[in-house]
Amino acid sequence: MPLTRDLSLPLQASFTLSDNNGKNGLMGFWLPNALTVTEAGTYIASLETALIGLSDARVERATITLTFTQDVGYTYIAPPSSEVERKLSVRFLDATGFYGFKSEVPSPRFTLEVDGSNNVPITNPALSLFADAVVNGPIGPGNGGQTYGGRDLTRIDSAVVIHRNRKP
Amino acid sequence: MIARLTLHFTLEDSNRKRAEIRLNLREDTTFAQVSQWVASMEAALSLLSDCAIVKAEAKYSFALFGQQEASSTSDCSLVLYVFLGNDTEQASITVLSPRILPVDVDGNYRGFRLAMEAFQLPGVQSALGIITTNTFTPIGNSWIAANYIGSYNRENPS
Repeated sequence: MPLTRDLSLPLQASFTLSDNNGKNGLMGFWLPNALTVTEAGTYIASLETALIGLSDARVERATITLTFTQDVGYTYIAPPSSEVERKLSVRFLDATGFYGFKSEVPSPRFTLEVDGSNNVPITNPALSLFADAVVNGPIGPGNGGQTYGGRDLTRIDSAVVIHRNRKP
Repeated sequence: MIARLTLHFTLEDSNRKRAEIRLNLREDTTFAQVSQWVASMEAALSLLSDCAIVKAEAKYSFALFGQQEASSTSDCSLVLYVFLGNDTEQASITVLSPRILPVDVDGNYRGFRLAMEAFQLPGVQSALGIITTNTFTPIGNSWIAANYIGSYNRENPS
């Protein structure tokens, strides 16, 4: 079942304030759900002004969170063999090949592994679909996933099954 | 103004353990496009993982550059409760290190009385006006009234 956003609920916004001792505090607000990103930015600026008037701590960061959840009737039961410590570590690269981004998919399907090897061929159809979703996204090339530095990911480099809690 | 946009998926295994997978997106991605992202990534992940995909969150982070006063301390907070008119719903606003300190009082119900005084200050009223005009209650209702039933915590107000 598809994840959906409940449009009857307001948008969640939170502000992080930090004091002179380096301690942080959070304040949460709820905004109209029909806002665009730009409009939400205007609301954030307005609330920032209000908070600066109320607090002498630094208003450091604001975050707007859109939450998508499964329907109440969602009943998918993960198979007993599933375990989130087992990961498929997928590495993507930007156009230069120097900058990358690693994504770890929990509990990869066992059918991905070939001949007992931990290396999953990047030609695997399910992996190719995932790579296409990350690199191109739903909008198309140039609008896909990015490195932490903001560089576009352009291709998949490798995919390896690892286990976080198991000794080799 | 948006410094970062990240998309987080929460997956759950048969032991109800959860793990998160995260992706950085372009900051100019719209809310509608985020919905498309969630749909396409969910479809791809469901073919790759055995886990149940229980939740996705898109987080737009805004970098702000507010000033920080040397006197600021999180040991002090002002809690104001904001009510709906019929009292069926309420929410509190907790202000870390309040800028406007009312004249201290001694005796019983000190926190309550300090909060009451703080609530009546013009600066606090103005800020609360902005907040209640621009935001909703957690379930999406408009604020009807603000009230001062709250507490003001500070051992030694300066």
